[in-house]
Amino acid sequence: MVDLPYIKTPYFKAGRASDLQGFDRVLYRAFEMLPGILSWGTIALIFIASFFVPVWAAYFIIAFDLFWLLKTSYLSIHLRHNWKRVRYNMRVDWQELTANLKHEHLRHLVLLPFYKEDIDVVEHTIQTLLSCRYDHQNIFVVLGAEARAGEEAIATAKAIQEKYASKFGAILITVHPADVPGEMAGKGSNISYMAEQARTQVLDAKQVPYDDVIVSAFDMDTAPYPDYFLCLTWHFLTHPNPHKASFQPVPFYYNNIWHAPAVSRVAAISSTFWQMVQQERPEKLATFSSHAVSFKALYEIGYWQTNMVSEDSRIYWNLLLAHDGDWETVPISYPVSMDANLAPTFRQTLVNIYKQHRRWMWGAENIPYILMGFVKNPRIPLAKKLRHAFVQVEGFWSLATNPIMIFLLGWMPLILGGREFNATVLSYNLPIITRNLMIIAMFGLVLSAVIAMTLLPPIPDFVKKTRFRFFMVLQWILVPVTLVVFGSFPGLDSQTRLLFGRYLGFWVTPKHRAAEKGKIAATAKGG
Amino acid sequence: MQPLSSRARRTYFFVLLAVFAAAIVPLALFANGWRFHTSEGIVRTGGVFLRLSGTGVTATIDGEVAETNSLLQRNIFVQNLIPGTHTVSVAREGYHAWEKTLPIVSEKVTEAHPLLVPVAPVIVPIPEFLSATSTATGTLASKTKNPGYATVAALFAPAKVLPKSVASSTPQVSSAKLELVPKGNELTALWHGSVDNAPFYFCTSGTCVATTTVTFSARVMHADFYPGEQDFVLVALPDGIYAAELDARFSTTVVPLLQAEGADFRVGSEGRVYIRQGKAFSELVL
Repeated sequence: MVDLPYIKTPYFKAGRASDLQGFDRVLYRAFEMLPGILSWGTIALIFIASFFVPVWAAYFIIAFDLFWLLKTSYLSIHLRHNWKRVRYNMRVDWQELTANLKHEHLRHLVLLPFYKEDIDVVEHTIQTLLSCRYDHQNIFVVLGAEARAGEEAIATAKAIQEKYASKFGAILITVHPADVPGEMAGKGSNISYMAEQARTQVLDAKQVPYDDVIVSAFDMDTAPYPDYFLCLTWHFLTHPNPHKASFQPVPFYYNNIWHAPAVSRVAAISSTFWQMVQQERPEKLATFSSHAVSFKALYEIGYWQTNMVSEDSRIYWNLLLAHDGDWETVPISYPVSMDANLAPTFRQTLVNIYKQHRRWMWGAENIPYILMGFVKNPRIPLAKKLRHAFVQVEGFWSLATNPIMIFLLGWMPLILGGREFNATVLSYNLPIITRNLMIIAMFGLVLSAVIAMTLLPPIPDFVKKTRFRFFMVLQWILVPVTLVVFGSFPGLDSQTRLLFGRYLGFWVTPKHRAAEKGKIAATAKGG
Repeated sequence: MQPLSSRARRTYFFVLLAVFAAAIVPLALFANGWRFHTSEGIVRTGGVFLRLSGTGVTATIDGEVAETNSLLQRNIFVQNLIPGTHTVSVAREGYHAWEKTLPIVSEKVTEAHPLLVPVAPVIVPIPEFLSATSTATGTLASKTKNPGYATVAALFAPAKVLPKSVASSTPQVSSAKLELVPKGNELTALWHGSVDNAPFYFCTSGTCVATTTVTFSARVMHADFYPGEQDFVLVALPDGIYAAELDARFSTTVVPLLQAEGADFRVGSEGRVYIRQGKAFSELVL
């Protein structure tokens, strides 16, 4: 067992300021307030500048428009490259590649936490695991029910276990107890419990060395593409230090893509694109949603945090701080498919998208944790601290403010600038230049539309193909709306809550599938 | 296949950074009106903004067509004009042409709201009686009074006897903050609100006043706002009815609507314009 001094500090598993004492608590609280102060400060500055110095506000907005255009171009280059890489990785024969490596000793531990998902959703995921090319006897599946979800969830797990136990190396059912003191009800507390139960009941029982286990922490709707385990195994074995790395697949929200409304599709595919861009910027990549990591590393730090919401990204920061900065996320550029937001009604779908994005944006809760860790861990190189801190702070700031600045606040000098400013050529040119730069930026969306089309699973028979292809392109005009409504607004919502200490609890995204179940299962496996 | 290399990413980054650095200053100067003219060199230009209501309107600057508006882009903004005076014309088929010589100031935009009035507005008579009806035997039935006639006649009655039901919702010669005061040959528009919020034609080069006066060739018998507009008026002069701009900053456009001595008009509550010639009433469709 390696010595990890930072994990013995009180900061290591801090979930919020109140988990600390004295000056540390004040400092952590100040860091919690930072994202909200920066975002609201930016918005306030635009209002103030638009009123008092509208000419300078207009210059700033024009410069920002240009910056945004170039930034989207820069990100589009990354997206395009990752698109090629994902397609390449989906064509590669990973079985052949892993055949040259000694990999039979490795075991995959798949954590599938669930709450009240239908048995169809659970079964679909299990069937997808079975459709993966890998020796299924080397895959251990953990179905993690929540006691607070009631007997029905446990019955679902048992039904699945009964039906599929022989197909895998093991299927373990765990029931995470409710109301554990110090824990927040959510995925983090459940999968930590699952991992520990799996250690004692499966790994120890089967005498599997922890070094030989790769954990895939999935959501219940996560459907890996056929070579996921082979691809992950190859990346794990070829990494110079696989126990100091997390492995990040690309989340495709395609399970129910043919049933989701346009706004949900755009939001889902945009999220996928963002993750694809991040795959080409590994130094900025933290784990997100479904991810993989060695069991040994998880065990050493006591698994995921149980007292906060964003456990998926927090585990990366836990490991980075525990290993004194010597930790990385490896982008494997291979997809896993998940559900796009879909509810029985359109309105509820919109609400769910908003809540899901707010939970993702609540990832800003990592900022105080990271900054505190950087202050308290002197063994991490300063340059690395500064780079990570800047990337995270700038990232959450830009997610919350940039769309609103581009699409809404850009008009403020015209509204607040007064008659004298409104009589200038500059005031007339401001909306024209903004519009033209945005039109150029929108050409990037054409690229996005093409990429989205090529990565989609095959169109099922029940979809009218011509009409759907048309709408799959046309839907991208919704991007300005989705960026503001499902980007800036939930971002500001989260950061405002963090600013005032009104902490967000874990919200489980409901997994709703439309009627044609068989058809959905078919689409998730395709492509 | 390898991820995008650090070197490639750095190259893209610095190329785009160079684009930003190279473009930002020219873009800011462009936004502020700076242009290169072969004859003048680099000059800080101005512009003109034409606020328009209809579509198919073509703007001409110094004899050259600048732009034709459309449903998506009703107003016309022309920039890149060298400071000085420029002749701005606006034309729309079936409407009186509008032309003015406007001063263009560097870095500033001169705003105008061209008055576009139909060359031949439709005049619909309002008969006192509705058409006579015939019986089966061919004999003329009794005449039916046209209720519309009485309503319009009431509009022309002295204000004190106006029944409430037919009184104009827009006061005859004033709106909430804008009042028209005819006196002799002059028509004065008074702005009662904050000067900062006054209509554009009260302002020149960002400085606004609360009063503007338009002078006509003859005594103003009656005046009211052009339906739906606060920049234009209808005036009854001794020789007919005219539409005119309140914008007296540079020159005032006055267009004849009906050449008829003694003709008077009223604007009804629904924004319709009614004309009286002797005892006959009609509606003027603009």
